[in-house]
Amino acid sequence: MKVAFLAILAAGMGSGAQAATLHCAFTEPFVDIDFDTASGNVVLTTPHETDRATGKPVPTTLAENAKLVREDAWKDFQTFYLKAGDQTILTLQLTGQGGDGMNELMFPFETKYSGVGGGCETDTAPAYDLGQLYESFDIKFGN
Amino acid sequence: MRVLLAGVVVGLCTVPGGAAQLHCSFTEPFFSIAYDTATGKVILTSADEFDGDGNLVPRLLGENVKVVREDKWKDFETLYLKAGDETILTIKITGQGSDGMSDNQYPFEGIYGERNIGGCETDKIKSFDVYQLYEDFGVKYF
Repeated sequence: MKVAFLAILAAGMGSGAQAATLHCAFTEPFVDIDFDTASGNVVLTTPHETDRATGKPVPTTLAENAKLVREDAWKDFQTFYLKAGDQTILTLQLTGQGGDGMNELMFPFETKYSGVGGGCETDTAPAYDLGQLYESFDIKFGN
Repeated sequence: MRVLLAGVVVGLCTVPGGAAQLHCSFTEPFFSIAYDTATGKVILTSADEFDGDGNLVPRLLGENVKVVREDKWKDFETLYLKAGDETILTIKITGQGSDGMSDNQYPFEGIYGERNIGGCETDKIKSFDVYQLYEDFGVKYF
């Protein structure tokens, strides 16, 4: 009985607002930017900023209490802004044509950070591998 | 041990060249087109095509169908669902596909016939719900 009660309680707690994550990838320089609604933090990770002792990347917090907001009118593609107060950290466009500049991944969002183009995905709108699409359908060139 | 062996056998059976499926949805008229590499068949199912008992009657559009792609393209890469020389469906990798009805954004745009434009997805590359995205991130207007 106690087990059943705890299971129901846990299920009830789990059905609340779930955290969502945004992940953006850039190349040259290699940078990842992550935003998590649970913490509100925007974190940058790059292989160029590492711990001397361990050699592991040291994430840098770009902003706290960040939010994703959207333009109420748009041309061509819908635009989103990752903002912390008045500061815009990233501008994202929902083009379905985003790329990280390195592989065949297609990201739902295109973005730029410090002038470098990148691709962004979320938990429910993940990037996909175009090369994998060709393979799974055995797609060849031509007619 | 038997369970382990059975697990390995099942794993090996499912690894090589799994079948892939493409599914496209259209609105006005409401119909869907499905392609499966395992059968090579393309099937159209329409809300307007049913038998005397009201059951939908799927229609075979093509057999021995393959997906081919253009080696050069402008704006968006284009794929063709072809049965011999006949092009059944044109697929553009726009990332902006739509079924014309829901908030779903499809990875591909499907063009069937002269005027029907719909949204296409595969078993591995799914559409996503833009409205759900707003909800997940608590997105408000700027």
